[in-house]
Amino acid sequence: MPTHTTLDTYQGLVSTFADFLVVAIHTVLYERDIYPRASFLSARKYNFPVRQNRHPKVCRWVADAVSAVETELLKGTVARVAVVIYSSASQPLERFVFDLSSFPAVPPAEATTPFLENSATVSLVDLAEQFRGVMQKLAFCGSSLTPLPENCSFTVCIELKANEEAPIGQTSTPWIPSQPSLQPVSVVAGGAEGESSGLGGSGGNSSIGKDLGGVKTTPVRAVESGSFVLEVWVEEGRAKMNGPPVVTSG
Amino acid sequence: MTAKYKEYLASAITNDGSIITYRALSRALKIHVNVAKELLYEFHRQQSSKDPASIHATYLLTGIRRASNTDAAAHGEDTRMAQDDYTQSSPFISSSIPTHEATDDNIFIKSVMLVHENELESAKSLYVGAVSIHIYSLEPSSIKNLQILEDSNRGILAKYANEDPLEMGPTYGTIKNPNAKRRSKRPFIPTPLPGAAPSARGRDSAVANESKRSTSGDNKIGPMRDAQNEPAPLKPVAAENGSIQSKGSAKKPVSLKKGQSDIFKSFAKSKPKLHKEDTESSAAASSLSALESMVQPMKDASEDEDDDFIATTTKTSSHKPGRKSIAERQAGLRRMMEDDDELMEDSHDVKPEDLQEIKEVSPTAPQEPEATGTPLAPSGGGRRRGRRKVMKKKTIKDEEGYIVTREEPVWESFSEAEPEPPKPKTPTSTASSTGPNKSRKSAGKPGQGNIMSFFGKK
Repeated sequence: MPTHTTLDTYQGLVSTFADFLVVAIHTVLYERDIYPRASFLSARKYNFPVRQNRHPKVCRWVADAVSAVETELLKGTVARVAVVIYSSASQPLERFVFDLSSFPAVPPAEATTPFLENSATVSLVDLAEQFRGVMQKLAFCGSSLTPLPENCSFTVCIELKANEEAPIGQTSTPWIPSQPSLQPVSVVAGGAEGESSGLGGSGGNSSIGKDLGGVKTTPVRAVESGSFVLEVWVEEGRAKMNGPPVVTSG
Repeated sequence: MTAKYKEYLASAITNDGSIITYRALSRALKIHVNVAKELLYEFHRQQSSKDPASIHATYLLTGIRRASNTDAAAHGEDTRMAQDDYTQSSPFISSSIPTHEATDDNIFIKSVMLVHENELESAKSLYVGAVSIHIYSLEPSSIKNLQILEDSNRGILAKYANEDPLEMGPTYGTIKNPNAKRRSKRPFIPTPLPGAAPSARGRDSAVANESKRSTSGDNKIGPMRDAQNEPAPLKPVAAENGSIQSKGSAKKPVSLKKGQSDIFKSFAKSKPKLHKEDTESSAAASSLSALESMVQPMKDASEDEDDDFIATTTKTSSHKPGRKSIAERQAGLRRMMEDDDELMEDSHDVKPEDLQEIKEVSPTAPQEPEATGTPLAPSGGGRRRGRRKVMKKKTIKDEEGYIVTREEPVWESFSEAEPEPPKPKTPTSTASSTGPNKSRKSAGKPGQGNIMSFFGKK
């Protein structure tokens, strides 16, 4: 986290967002009961009480995921980051979406170049206050969303901007393509979109992008300060609304 | 005021979706907290009769309960992971004061508990005897992490920081120590003490009291306080200032005293000069007699503000006219910086003058504009002022401040040797001793008289 009071480089925006994303993911894990409540300890971030998971593997996973997101952000390919909660049958139930499409589009080489306009610089104090607001709203989301079933799992997804290369295929990348139902429908045939390798284990997801957007969207908060523009909302998926797949006994 | 509470609560809770604690409501409507609790209750009753899901209350229970219930009640804490029988329900946050940790049925503990409204009945049953129940907060829906309620206090601190707690205390119903009194005079605390805490607290009192200066006598001491403690860390002050102004007055005398006793120990020999220097370098006239009181064995903190300072600002005030203007001093300081090397070795009358100006400037530069104290002094004052210079300069972070600090002991010793030196003379001897004094800063203080005599020979 930069120590000066304003952010005036794209890299600063990205690292601030990454910090925030770690806290947000832990908060989502807590609020949605992904892990037992007792496994969370109380911490403070942005001068606000937050919950952080104590299990070292969880912490490491979240940290790694966020740093992978940060790498992609610095490449300038990311439109949205989503924390997706799956049911035990790998059906996407909820998506906590962090929309970054309004972030300045900066080529990787210019990541440390200061912004030209003063209106683009971001005040950290202002941001901290807005982040507090996001945390508080996330705390209420637990009650505005319908409860989750047991044994849910979660993951972190990134939605790329149109026409961007997906960071998959190479052996060193931590990313895999998400299930087809969560793939955006895209005209460009390049990349790995449409491939059903990876997670697409659950039944009958023939239509691509079917689960994007969700059936019900609940806004959480919009954060705006200088060029740091972020929107957060929660999508509840069809699978959640319709109930779990019915298992008929013959 | 209370008539508007419905609109206020409706807009805050329903529209903004924020959490309103009884304390926040009392500050917003300027009412007593107990009235605020009643208003919260009434609003909750009305709203839940219309639509129970639209509002949620968190209650605070105070009373005595059996210790054997502690396990169940405190499962929200990390240490209680093993006994997490209440996973699905909201955690109780129990800040109890147990006599000991045994879960014996006959052990009763006084317990303060925050509970969600749906657990109110089960929590009540844990208690033995009378229980005090009131609404702590209202929110649009149930929250899992009750610690979030604490954020409301941060908002209150930020929003109402400019209110005087003593003034608004009775209105809000804040608990006040009847023996606590606000100090109008700032006690004297020399800054360079290792106890940065006393300095910070001293500054606290300074900043706190600054906003409440009562008499002119106080005003004199006030800026001085500021000047001294300027270098002290700002953070503790900023953090503490808003919240503990009323508490500080009771607290500070104690902390300040410790500071003073340390000073006395360190500067046994040259105490008077030390104090004098502090006073002198202050912006306002500091009372010499106050310094003298410092020199004398510490007095017990009395509630009277003349505690550490005997507010007789006679001596110092007489020197007010002698003070140069800050602009002059700063100019002198700059000149000195440029003529640095020369000053080290030579001893001109011109440079010494600059030197002296600079000495005056450096400690006084950060002070408030109304600085009127005199650097050099009349008989007794001279010594102390010299000492203060030492301390002041130490805190000046200047690239060439190194030089400034070095001069402190010289300044000090000089004034000691000649109680009433005319200004030109002072710098002269100062300048001559400046050079060899480069590395003598620390040594200068304790053995001032000796060093001075050493330099005098040169």
